[in-house]
Formats: sequence, structure tokens, C-alpha cells
Amino acid sequence: MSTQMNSVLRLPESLTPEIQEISIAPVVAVPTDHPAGLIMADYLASMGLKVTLIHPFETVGAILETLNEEFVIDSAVEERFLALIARVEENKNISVLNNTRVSGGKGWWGDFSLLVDGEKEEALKASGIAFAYRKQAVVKKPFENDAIIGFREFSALLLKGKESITPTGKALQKLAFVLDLGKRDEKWASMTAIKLGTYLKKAFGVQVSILCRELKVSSDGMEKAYREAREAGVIIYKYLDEPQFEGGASLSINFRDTSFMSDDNPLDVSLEGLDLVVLQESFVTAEDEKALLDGLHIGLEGAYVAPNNPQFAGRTSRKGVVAAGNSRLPETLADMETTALAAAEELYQWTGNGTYGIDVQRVAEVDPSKCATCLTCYRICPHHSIRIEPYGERNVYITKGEKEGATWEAARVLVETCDGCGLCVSECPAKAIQLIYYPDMDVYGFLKENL
Amino acid sequence: MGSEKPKIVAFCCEESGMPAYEHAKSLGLPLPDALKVIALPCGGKAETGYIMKALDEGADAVMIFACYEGNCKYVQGNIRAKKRVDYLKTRLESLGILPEKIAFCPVAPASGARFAEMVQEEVQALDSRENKS
Ligand code: SF4
Ligand code: SF4
Repeated sequence: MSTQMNSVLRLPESLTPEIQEISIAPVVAVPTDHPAGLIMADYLASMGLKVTLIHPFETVGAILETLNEEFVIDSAVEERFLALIARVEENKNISVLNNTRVSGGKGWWGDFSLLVDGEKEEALKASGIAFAYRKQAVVKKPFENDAIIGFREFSALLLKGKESITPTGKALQKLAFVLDLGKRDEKWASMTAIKLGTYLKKAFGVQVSILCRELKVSSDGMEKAYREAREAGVIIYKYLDEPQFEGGASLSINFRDTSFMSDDNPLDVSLEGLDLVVLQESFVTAEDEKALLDGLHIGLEGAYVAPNNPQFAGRTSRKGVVAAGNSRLPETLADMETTALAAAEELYQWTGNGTYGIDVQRVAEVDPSKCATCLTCYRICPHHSIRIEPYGERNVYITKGEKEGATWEAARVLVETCDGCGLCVSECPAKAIQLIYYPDMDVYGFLKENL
Repeated sequence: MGSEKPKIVAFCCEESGMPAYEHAKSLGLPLPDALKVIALPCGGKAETGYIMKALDEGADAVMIFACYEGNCKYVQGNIRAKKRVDYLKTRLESLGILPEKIAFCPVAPASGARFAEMVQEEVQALDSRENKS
């Protein structure tokens, strides 16, 4: 064993890049009801793009009301945002559609259209889309009690500098976080509970318990945070079935814990005399956002792709569409502002230059004579970059007016928006797709030679 | 010259596995000489055909390094790869091949240490299986 050379097969650069110029009009749409939308509109307009801001309120200023709901803001922050509103209202590059909702969307990078219901129903054309919506936080309390609150409310308390005080005014000595209540996994809640719990334990000696169904440690930073929490004395339980809450003068939680023993051998645990219980809330997606995501085939998951490279903050799974604000995750004010700027910058890269050179080799290609039109690739392509179209002969596409001459229908990769990920290639049951720049034979050949 | 065994083929996602491999190299962490590294644009590109071909050509083990769940640049590529590996394992048994020969390994791009560790674990698993038989 040593650190000598291993045989490595790298992704090929296209051998002879074949660049196709396409033109993209510098026109974007910003559907929003969140301050992050204002930040993106402001940035994009200042870079010279034509921006349509679409929002459901009477005035642009009303978008700011959400700021108070979500974050703790002081007068300096307020001034900054009032100035932002003024800029947005004055900028000639921004046209504002007040009282307007989004009911759908379709298209591709360079050619999106949004269905909007305002004074009149219309389809709005845009090369790119930057959206930001709020999410409504819903805390499902087992019963009414001021000492049971959600994460968002708890963060607000902490930001006000009242770490050691509960909403009921008592000193905070015993605290429990309850995660994963009857809902899908979300990493942010584990992360927040672990970090806040460790801090409160260390700084104020608060006795902290974290109850979860499954602790999400599937990222490297998380493992470290988890260890630190353990070392600080934060107790982490894994409950088997929904914990039972009991109220009255003092709060308690009863549940069966499996963190010490196995699932078949749970321990009954009762946490008593709690001063505060923080529940993981669920977030309800805004109607407009849902319509937009459905129309564009992004889906909630695609809206918060969190790629390993933080440089891509704001990216969604589709080229030419970026997201910020709650459309990603609940975040702090500073994070919200940075993500919004990063998202706007990303969209500017895609839509700000007028024309683009695309290497038409770094994409996938369908052999229509093999395609069984099963629609697998159409369904799974993260960029929604595959259409089913009539073909003439290989790679000669029949345009609409020429339909008669078409011999069969087959999948076709849209060169402009394909990112060359190869997912369609590996899932096509007919083996009808290849990455032009990296055909399967490269891999097979390498294996043959090197094993 | 390095040793020719164990022959491990690592399919590496360009976004996570490859940077992790480079990181492991730059830290000088021990990796088997006979480790074969194949970059793929996404972990989800690790096809059944690739994995079977690698085993067919005599690989002792095949590892697929992809992003952690929720981190895929292409939303579901890593999940698809994982499902494919799980499915393939159920089929390998019926072909008389040990399912343990293939492993799905999520890794962060800056985690060369974890990359090397997982390869070492695979090497040890191979050793102990060899000793048993
Ligand atoms: S997955 Fe393959 S066979 Fe199915 S539609 Fe796409 S190219 Fe055609
Ligand atoms: S290579 Fe990826 S982006 Fe391109 S068509 Fe296939 S699945 Fe879509």
C-alpha cells in the first residue's frame, strides 16, 4: 500500500468543442411576496436587465411587512429596506405588477412564460425566473400552552437577547426540542436544535434534551456539532412513537426511547418540569409558489437543491430559474440577503449577456431508432430538457409544419438546457441515449484495459 | 511497483467523490495502488452496466462515491444510484456473486479522510472474507 499513481479516468473535455451561439433576451421575471424578491429585482435591474416584479399586494411596500414576521429588525435594517423599496419603485428597468398572482409556468431557459392573474390574465415571457416566497410556519401544539412554541418564535426570542427567559417570563432551566413530529425529515431542524442546545447548555447551564425520530447527521459538519453537543451534556433521545405531552402547572413529555437500547427494547422515559418545549413546525408553501413549481417541473425538492458547492446558492434544479427567501429554507436575515444576491448573480450569468456559446458536445443525444418512447428520460431529467418529438432521420428534427414527413416519435434532448449529467443515459431502458462527450465505451474501455 | 490487489473500482461523482479522492491524494493518505478511479458527471450516472462490467473484468469490489442525500446537484441522482445499487445487490446473490462486493458511499467533497477511510474499510472487508474462505 502506498500513495503511488492510481489509474484514473477523468471527465473528458470535449475533444473539439463545437460551439453553438444562442441568443437569450436579457428579460427576467421575479414572482415574489418576500423581501428576497426585492433584493433580486433590484440587483438584476441595476445590472441592466428588464425585470417584471410580480406580487400579490396593493403596493410594493407591503412586501416588507413580512420582514417583521420573520426576523427581528432594528431601525438601521428598516431604513435599508425602505431605501430598497424606493429604488425598486423608481428604477425604469423594473415594471411592477401589483395585485398579481402566478398560476402556472412553462418553457425553458431563454423562453419561459408565466401565467399571471392580475388585472388581466396573461402569459408573461421571460428568459429567466428568480422567485422568492414566504412559507407559513404552522406549530401543531398538542394543547394550548404558552410554554410550547415553534423554532421560529424561539429564534426570535434568542435574537432579542433573552436567552435565559421563557415566553412565560420564567427563568429557563429545563428545555426540550421535539423534532420530526409526524412529518418528513428536514435537516435544518436537527442542526438548529443541536447548535442552539449546545450554546444554551454551555452559556447558561440550561438542561437541554433533544427528542427526534432519527438524527440527521448526514453531513460532515453535523457529525462534529453532534459530538460537541454530547460532550457539553445535551441529551439526545430517539423516540419510537409520537411522544405524549402533559400540561398543567409544569410540562412533561413521555415517550419510549431507543437511543440506549435497540428498537425492540425501548426504555420508558419521562421528562418532567420542563420550562419550555420547542416544536419543529411545518412550513406551508404559498399557493403561487406551488403553481410555479408545478408548472416548471421543479417540485419542492428541486427548489432547494443544496449542492456541495456553496457558490451555487440559489440554484434550483432548472437552468435559468433561481430561488431565494423561504422558497429555500428558513434562514437568518443575513443569510437571506446573501442568498438572494447570490441567486440574482447566478441568474445574471444566465440571462445578462445577450448571447451564449454552448458546447453542443457536452450534452446527451438520443438515437431515435432505438427510443421506445417510454418517457423515462422525460420524467427524470432534472432540467426538464427532454421532449418527445417526431423525427425524420437520425438527429434531423421535423419542425411543426412538416409533421407529415415524420416517420416516428422519439425523445429529443434540448441542447440548450441539457447539463450533461447523464441521468437519462443510465436510466433509459432501451439504451438509446449517450453523452456525446463521454460515451459508455470510454468507461467500458477503461475497465477492460485497467482490470 | 505497487501491488496488483485488491482491485477496487471507484465510480466517483464529479461533485463529491472526485474532489474527495483528490483531497485524499493531496493529504497523502494511503490508498491501494490497484484502486481504479472513474469520474462521472453525477453519481446517478453509475449504471448497472458499468458496475457489472467492472465485476466481470475482475474487480474485487466496486464502490460508488456520490453526494449526501439532499445535496445532489441534479436533485435525485444520488438517490437513484443508491436505489440501483440496492436493487443490484438483490440480483447479485442469484448470480452467485457476493452482494458485499458493491457499496454505495456518500461523501462530502472536502472529505478526503472519509474517502480513504471507506476504501480502507472495503480493503479490510475483502481481506477478512478472503481469510475466511
Ligand atoms: S428513456 Fe430511452 S426509450 Fe424511454 S423515451 Fe427516453 S430515450 Fe426513449
Ligand atoms: S444528460 Fe441530464 S440534463 Fe441532459 S437530458 Fe439527460 S438527464 Fe437531462
